[in-house]
Amino acid sequence: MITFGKVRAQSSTTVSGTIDISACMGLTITNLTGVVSFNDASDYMSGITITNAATIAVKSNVNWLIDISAQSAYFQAMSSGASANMPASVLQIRRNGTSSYITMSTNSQTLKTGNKGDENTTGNSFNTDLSINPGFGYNAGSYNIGVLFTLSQQ
Amino acid sequence: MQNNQPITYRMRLFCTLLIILLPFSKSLAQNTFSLNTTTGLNFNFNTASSLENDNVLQNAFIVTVRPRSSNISVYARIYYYSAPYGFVPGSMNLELDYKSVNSTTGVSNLVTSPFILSTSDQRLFSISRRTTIFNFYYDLICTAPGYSTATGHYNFTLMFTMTSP
Repeated sequence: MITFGKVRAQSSTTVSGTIDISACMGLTITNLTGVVSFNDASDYMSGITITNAATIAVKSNVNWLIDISAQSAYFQAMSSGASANMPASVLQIRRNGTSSYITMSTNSQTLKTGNKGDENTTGNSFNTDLSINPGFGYNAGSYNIGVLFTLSQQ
Repeated sequence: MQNNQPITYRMRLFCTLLIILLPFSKSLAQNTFSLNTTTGLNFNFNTASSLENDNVLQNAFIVTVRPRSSNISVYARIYYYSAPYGFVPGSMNLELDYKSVNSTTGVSNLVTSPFILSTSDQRLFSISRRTTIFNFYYDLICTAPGYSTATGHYNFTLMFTMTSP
């Protein structure tokens, strides 16, 4: 006697696809201060330091670095009589919690590096401190300078 | 005796034809199964916000079945994938999400919630034997990769299987 096991009929088909993930980064800068005013002699003597002047948050799917640079070699005079020769180096920036400042110039300098992850990843959100010390060499007035933050892949 | 011969002959002929044609009648009533894609199965994540959201290919698949000869079940799984160095399985998933079917008569075990595809077969639905043609529509979802998933190019192949007992 011949017996057959139960055979399970089966039919299959396949489809293929792709997923592409590019290097993606996002940068948020929250300015925590407004206009910085020099009101008395001590401000000119030793300059003004603003702790936690801005909060920077990075989200990136690759390891990253932030460079900073001044957008111009000199502060822009915004009022009548203000000097046109106050250099960008009057402004210094550092990451809060570090000791040394970066003296601003039009050359890019690295402010911080970090690992991939969102803004909740350790090291991807941090504050910056400012130091502005023009001394007595420039006229009273209003001044402005742009600072460029550049986020890129390590 | 002579009058009975044609009858006997006809009966033998009928039986012989029956034996010959029976397998063909069975094959004519076979279950049928096909899979159609309505769009290219390609996902692109190229902005920070895109990394934070699921990418959905709506009605990506139409699974068409006609269980004419027996009860059937349909399964799906990841048949093959390749990923860039550093990819951690589970950091990004492919999901199937049932959307609609033209008839639910005879349908059972229908999974109506999105589920993560794996390298093991997972049943999509079962149908009892009938002549109706069923068209099941499915979205294909690539879950948000976030900021930890390795960048680069991924390939995948999905397999859909119809089985009958």
